[in-house]
Amino acid sequence: MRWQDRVAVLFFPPGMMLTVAALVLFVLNLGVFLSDVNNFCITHHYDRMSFHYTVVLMFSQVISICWAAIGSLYAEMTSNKFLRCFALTVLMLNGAMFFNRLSLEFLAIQYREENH
Amino acid sequence: MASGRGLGQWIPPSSHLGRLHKSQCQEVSPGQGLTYKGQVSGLPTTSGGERFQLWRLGFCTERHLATRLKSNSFYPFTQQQPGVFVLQYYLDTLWKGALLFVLCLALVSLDFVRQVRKQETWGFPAFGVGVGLWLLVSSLPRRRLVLNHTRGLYHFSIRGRTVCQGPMNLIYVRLALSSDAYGRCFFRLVLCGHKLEPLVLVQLSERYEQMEYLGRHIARKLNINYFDYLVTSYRHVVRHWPLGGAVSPGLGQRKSHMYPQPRQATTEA
Repeated sequence: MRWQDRVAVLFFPPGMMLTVAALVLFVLNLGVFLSDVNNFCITHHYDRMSFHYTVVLMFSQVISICWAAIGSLYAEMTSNKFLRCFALTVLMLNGAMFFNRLSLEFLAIQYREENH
Repeated sequence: MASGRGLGQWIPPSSHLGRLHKSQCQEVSPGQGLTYKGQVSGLPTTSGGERFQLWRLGFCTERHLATRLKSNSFYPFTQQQPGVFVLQYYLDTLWKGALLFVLCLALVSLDFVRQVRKQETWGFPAFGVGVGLWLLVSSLPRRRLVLNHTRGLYHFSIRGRTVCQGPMNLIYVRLALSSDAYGRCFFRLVLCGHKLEPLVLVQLSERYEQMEYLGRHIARKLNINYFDYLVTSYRHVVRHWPLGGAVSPGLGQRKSHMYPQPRQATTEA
């Protein structure tokens, strides 16, 4: 099946679907992370950081790691080298993003709003 | 097309038989636990009637399947001509995705879970909206499976675009086993094939004999192979062999010369 037909009827193997979804989530999380780093290190506008969205961000990062792992598992079962490399790359990117986010939250923990 | 029965080994078609027949097949989505809706297409130029009829198969026992088989003996399929069976269906992720999408859209628009203890949590329903939309759009194209015995091929297409076409030995009915922690065995009847989406005919049942009878009946009516839940078993019914005939690497050879020949025995004595 040609790839144009695949896109037209949205028929992808489930591993590929999950990996692409993980890639989309990675891009979103990367955008949020870069904006946070910009506000934390460069412009020092601490009130514009994403402290109110921490729960959703953590959830989406963990889900994207899970999806990338399942997609990589499906890809390993095929013998397609490109698919396997792609899925593994997406998994490693998501893992790295999770640890980056964890480090940033640790560094910025003093700057969270306190309510007593 | 003689139906042979013997000690056979069920080799997953994607391992080597797929390479034997260079069919134009691409990756398929296994393990999606599909139920399907069939279509009564009596006329060749039909646009479909009961496409959603079989969605409830996922909740049915083998008794419901048996009742439906009484009315339509080729049950998931319909017979267009003698030897040609057609099945048109939508994946069940269609209604699941639609439900998720509508529910999360309602949550987002009603501002129901907007903020919990100063954390913005509207991201969760928004996430659900995205996932539901994705599932919905990917299941909208109608799938069509054609078994053509006059040409010896099966043909799987999605909205008119061919996904896969292969010989008849690559599509089969299989009894699958899953057991729980206490050792109770549950059987599932699945219609699957090389590069095809597996279709679950009966979801969970403990009655092995009824399931086997139904599986063999369906395979006989549709004239395709039937495989037992064990990989090596006497209960496989193979009607179509791969190219290479009965000399298949998966067949166990009967051991000859188990006992010494009479002439040898007298010489040894």
